[in-house]
Amino acid sequence: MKLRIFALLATFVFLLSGCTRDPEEYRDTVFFAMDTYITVRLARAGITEKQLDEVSSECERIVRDLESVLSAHDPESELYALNHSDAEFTIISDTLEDVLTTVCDIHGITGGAYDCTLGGLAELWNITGGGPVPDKEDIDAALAHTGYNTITLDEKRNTVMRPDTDVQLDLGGIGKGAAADRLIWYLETTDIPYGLVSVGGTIGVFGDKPDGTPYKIGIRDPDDPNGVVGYFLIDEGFVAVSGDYERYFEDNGVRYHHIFDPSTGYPADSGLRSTAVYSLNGATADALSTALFVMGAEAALELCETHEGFEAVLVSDDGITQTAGARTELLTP
Amino acid sequence: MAVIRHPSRKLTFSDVFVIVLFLLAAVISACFSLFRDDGTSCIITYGSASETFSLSEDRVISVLSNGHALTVTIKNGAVSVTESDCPDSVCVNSGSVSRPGQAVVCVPAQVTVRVEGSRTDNADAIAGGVS
Repeated sequence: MKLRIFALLATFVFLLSGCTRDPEEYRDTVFFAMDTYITVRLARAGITEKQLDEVSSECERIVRDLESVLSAHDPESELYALNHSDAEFTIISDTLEDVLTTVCDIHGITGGAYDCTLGGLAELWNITGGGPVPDKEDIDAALAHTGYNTITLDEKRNTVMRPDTDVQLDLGGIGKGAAADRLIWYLETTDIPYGLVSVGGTIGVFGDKPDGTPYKIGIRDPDDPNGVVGYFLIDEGFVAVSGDYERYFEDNGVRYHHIFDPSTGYPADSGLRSTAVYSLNGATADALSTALFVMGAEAALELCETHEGFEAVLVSDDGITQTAGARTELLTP
Repeated sequence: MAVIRHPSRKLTFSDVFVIVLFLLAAVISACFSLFRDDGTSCIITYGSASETFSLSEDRVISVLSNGHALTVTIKNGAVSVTESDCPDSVCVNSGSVSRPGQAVVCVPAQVTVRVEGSRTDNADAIAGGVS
């Protein structure tokens, strides 16, 4: 009798105390790089502090190495050298070649809605510097040196052909995903059993959580920094989001955000507020989230239905839609 | 003749003592769970230093970091960067945050303002945000 009462009450106490997340479950390492904020969250699970230190340091090194290749602003970077070269023919590193291969793939399937040649246009708009809105003639002049068919990548020879040397590459729309890829590739080779990374809000996960549940990745509400519109439930892979809600300036009550429509040279006006994409490849998720934002809901859903390997949640002022079969929990229909 | 004695089914004093003890533990534990001070503080990190402030008390904090000046405002249980001389204003555009795990980040100033406490949404991470 005593034993039974004891067991019953012990269970009662446990339930009342609530199942909250153990704050010591993870070691978070945060740092600034690639013009954004990066979090590496590693499960402690029997891993020594020294190992966690070593893995965290290696993660930071991986991101800084990638930054030294992809940065459009760092005069020491490989991309900066490419953009400021007068050569039509440039030999590039394996890392840049790998990222540009994904760029070309996404260029192709989105019909150029994702376009990495908008560097000159982005510089003209100076969105993060507060504008102002450029003249139409200047926008047209900048557009003359854009287009995904203005560069040719030779994957076997690691070369880029850029006959128009005024074309400026900007890999900001894929860099965070490429960094998340490299972090997860590395973390999967370590003894860390599970965890995740956030590269400026592009999330990658690795390993299985001990309770067997999927990772629950919230999709930020474009109108509420405290809110989410729903969740992706994932066991592996990456979630990237593009939206109009952080990098923008306003002029005469109009919001000018940083995601440009390559066909107009103006910030995309597709009716979407944000797009969240899940893929097994981070760079793909990142670039596609930009492309789908430009394409608009109808074309985006059609693209997702005709291609395999990614899922999307699209947020507009009219509501939320998602691709068929996406593993999500949406908070509103 | 052997007599088999069954233990008494009546509650003894020690049974009652154990019950009272556990009920007391349950109530205390529940109180901790219900009234825990979740999300009532924010940590401002700048460079390698950080400061913690309660979100229950309105205040304005100036932060000088990496050559930039920011004004962090705590008001009505939420925290935001209300002014910044950084070039992109992403931190100001990010609005107010009040839920544990959420953060406002200023990359040029290398400042993070993170709300601390147990997350109530049970999400592992938020895509499209900085948490």
